[in-house]
Amino acid sequence: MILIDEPLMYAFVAFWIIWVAVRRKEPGRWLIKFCEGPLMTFARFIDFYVMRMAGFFVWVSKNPMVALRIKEKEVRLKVEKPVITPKKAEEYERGLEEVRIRYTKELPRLSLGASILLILLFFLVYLAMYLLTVH
Amino acid sequence: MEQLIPIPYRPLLAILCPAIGSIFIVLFGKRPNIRESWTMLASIAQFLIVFSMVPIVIGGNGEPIKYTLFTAFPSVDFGFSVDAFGLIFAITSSFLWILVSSYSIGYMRSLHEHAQTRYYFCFCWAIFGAVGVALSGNLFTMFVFYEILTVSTYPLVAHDQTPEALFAGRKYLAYLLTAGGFFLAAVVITYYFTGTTDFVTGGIPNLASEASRTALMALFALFLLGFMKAAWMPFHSWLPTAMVAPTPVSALLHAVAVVKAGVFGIVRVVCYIYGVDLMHGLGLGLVLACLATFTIIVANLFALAQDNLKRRLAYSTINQLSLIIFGVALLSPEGIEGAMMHIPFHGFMKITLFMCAGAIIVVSGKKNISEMAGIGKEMPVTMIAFTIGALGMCALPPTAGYITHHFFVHGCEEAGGTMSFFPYVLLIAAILDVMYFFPIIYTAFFAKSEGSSGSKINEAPLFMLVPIAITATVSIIFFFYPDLFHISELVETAVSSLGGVHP
Amino acid sequence: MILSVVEQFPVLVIVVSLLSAFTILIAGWLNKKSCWVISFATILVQLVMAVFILHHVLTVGTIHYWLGGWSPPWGIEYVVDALNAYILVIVLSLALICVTYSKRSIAHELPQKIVSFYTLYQLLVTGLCGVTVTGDIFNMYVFIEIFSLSAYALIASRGKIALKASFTYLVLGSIGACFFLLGIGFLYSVTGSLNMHDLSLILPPLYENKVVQAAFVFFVVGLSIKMALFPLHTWLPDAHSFAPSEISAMLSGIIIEVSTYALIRVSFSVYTVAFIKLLPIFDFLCWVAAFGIIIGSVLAIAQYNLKRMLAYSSVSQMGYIMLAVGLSTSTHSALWGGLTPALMHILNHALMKGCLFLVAGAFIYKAELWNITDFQGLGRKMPYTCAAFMLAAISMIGVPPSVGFVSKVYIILACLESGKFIFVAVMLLSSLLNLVYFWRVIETMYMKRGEGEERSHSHSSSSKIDEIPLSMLIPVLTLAGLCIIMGVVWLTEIPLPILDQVNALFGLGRYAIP
Repeated sequence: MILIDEPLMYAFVAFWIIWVAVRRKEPGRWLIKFCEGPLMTFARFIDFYVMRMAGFFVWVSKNPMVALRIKEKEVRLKVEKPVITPKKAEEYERGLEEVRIRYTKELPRLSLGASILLILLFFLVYLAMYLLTVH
Repeated sequence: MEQLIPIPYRPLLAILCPAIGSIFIVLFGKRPNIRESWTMLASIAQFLIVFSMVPIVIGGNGEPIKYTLFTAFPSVDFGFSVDAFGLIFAITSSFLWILVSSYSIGYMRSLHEHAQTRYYFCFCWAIFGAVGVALSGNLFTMFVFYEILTVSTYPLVAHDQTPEALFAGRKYLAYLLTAGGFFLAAVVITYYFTGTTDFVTGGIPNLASEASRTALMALFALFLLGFMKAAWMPFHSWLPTAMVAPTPVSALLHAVAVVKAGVFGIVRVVCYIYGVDLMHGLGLGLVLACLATFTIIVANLFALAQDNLKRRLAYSTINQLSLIIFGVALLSPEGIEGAMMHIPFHGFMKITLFMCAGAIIVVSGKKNISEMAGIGKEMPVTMIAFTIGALGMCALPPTAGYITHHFFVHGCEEAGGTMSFFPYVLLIAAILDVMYFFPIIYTAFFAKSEGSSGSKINEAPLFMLVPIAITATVSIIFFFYPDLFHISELVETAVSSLGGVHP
Repeated sequence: MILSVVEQFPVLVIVVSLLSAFTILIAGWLNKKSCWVISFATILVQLVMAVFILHHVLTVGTIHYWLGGWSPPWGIEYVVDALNAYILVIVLSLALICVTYSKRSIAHELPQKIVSFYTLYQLLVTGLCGVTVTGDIFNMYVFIEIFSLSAYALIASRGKIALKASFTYLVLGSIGACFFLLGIGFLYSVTGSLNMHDLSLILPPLYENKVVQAAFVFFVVGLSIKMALFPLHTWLPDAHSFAPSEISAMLSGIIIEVSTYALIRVSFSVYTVAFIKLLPIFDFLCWVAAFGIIIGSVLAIAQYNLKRMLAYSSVSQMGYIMLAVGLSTSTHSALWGGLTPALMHILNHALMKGCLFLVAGAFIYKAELWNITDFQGLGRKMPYTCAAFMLAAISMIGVPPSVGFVSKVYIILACLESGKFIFVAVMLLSSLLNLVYFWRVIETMYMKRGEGEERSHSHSSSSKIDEIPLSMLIPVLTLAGLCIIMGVVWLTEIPLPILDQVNALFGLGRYAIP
């Protein structure tokens, strides 16, 4: 069996060597340029967003409650900014800053009352399920 | 030998060599000479034991050497089953470990690296994992060694302990242990469907009847995700990042042991879990081939853009690994033969390239290709070896790469149909290979260096130079005599016992 | 009724322990040093007895001991079958390891309170053993209160902020106990019996009775608080992080597990599988557990304090156990069916968490290191302790062949058999989350350099080995070693017959009536 691509391959190698010998420059600069430029930019773009997404998850998991509140405030600020007065917007931004500062501090601990409330809720869910399913 | 170690115990003993070696390495941590001689001793012993199994497996007509430690689940043993294919990988890893051990001694001492005891210790366990993967008799055992391999390599990747290295290590673990999770899920689901995880030549017989078509497809996707070690795109980015590791680590682990464990696993799953017939029936061969060619082309384009030599080599590795996957995906005897053969061949060639890159770092501290003008005159032996490795990557004679390239092209024709279109893709890949390897050679030998401090020969220490010379020579010998280390014989045994391979 | 010696052991385990608690109190007045010796010796004797009990149960059969010779429906009965015997051995082994560890650490941490510490500790062990061996549901409540009260006191022993943690635990724990007591009251009002075996005979015709059904809900909620099942775990992080380390280890490794044992006992010995299949509560528990697994892990990632991180990790691990318990009625395999994965993970978790908390205690003992970020360079300073931590952490992540891996595989197999694929994903995701927070610690210990510390090429002189005393190191290393050794032992299936007997007892797994 004759390999179709083998002569082509040798031809390319010969072409490469001759090109370099004559021109003193590697052939296919445009391809290399393309790879170094657009392709790598694209790859970095993807990589950047993937890493940012991963980073976002880590950030959220560090303090989920406050993180959600920050996100909520950010979205609200963006939505309402065109309609409200600049003064109010400033107020909003200040509020956001405050939450952000709180974010770096220690996690809020659930108070005793909240814990008991949780227990009652838990119990209620149980009872609700039990009432719904038994009949 | 026969009387020395009873045959069934040999797989166990081969695995234990690095484990025992590692203990002595820690015990003699304060005395470098003794410590490193233990590494050498363990590696040589392991190679000899592994090699002693070759005639038995070849003579036994594909009958594997079995050794069971214990039964973990009904019909899932924790144990070894040494067949021809496993031996190929085991021989490659264990032989190259000898060379890399010697190379490590030169490299680590020249650069006065820190924490050398930890380095040699983890290296032993990485080999333990790799050879364990090679010799394991079922998916479950393979998974255990696969995870050990992942964890033990982490300290090697993060060896420098710089923030960059720590980041690389974290990324490495994040990718590979996630992959481990998928792999575990795949193993458990396979077991759930079929009640066994043993590697059976031609596939697990009742897999097709027990699971639906969709389930089989999903399971295969899980397996592929599990073998992220094979660095197929788009899950490849841990590999270039991991290149911050010391060069011997990149050389053995990221050109041979770790990544090859990934492709080894894929070949195992395709040929010994699903079986060629089932793969064909599901049409998964074409899917896998497309995935592989995508990776081959894109990895080569990425490689073109790299100026850091080790990163360029890393992308070249991604390309070559997918070439192996591609060979298997053809599902034709020649394709599979090529894939199996490319595991050792690529191992030898790529390790040559990596060791050369390391030698350049040791001697001149240069990491980027643009700085390497005229280095061929300073380090002729290293750069000639590099040229041989590069020719191999481009599938040009007289190197081992040429042989496997033939197999792949024949495999395409044998498979027929859509597959007969793929040789052109291989051609493009090879052309791209030329485009990023030849400039390195050109820069090294013909470009003028700016400083031009005179071309005084300034080679790396002998500890490093000898392994480089050996691997380069072996890469050429494979071209003329592929049966070195009985590789081609083993491959034939493995493929012939695969049985009902599709025309 | 003539009993062999071993059949007397269930009551002896408790009596010896209770007497020893008082002896410690008295002996402590005379000589503080004797406290540890007495406590250690007692627990050792108890452990030996527990091993004999286990052997007897496995070879001869269930032990029934009537307290004071009163026959069951009226008198209190101690019943030891494969399940209690197995739990009893775990409880006492970890108690022994923790008491060994406490010798130096308590002398360092609470030098003023040695006597009261060991008295309370012995009471704690008494309570735990009592819950385990009793066959009477009211008696079980009493013992739950005994161990809870001693736990409240032990947690508070460090004073200051620990008092608040203890108070939270006290309030929530009491609520839990109240629920449990209410459940008992409901059952008593319907059946007029408190003996578990007796109840299980009287109850089946009454399964449609609303009071009986409500009682079960009360039991589940009450014990869920005690075992810190998400979202009722709120007392746990503070309690775990401010208690002395050996108590943290006991809390996480044993106390919440014994509460799980109580739930299993109530579910399968008082009620039966038939009843559980009537109500969807176990399905509900599975989902709660799955949420607990994920959220516990996520909260653990958020922690900087090592002990708090471990505490949240416990929340997640309790989710594993409850998930396995929840699946137990729908699996029928001989291997992973029934309670096998749950019971397996109870032991595994005791080993791993015990080791991790003891290591955390070692860091505090040596250098008052609480926060993960301060652990730089510990890998060289305390090589053995850090190695132990690493082994246990690797087990938590589930790297083979550790115990965590075995649990993971068994639970995943159970999930698959009951067809709940979503839980497979939960298990895998959780092991990744485990990886995130444990690897952070390992990386800091071994890989990160301090700010001042330059990259030193030569063998650095600053890193002198500064290990904890041997009496603390041996327990830590034992647990770490067991994390791996037990993993292999589980894989060889040698201890599985014990768990198989439990399934046979309750008609679970392959003994289930289809």
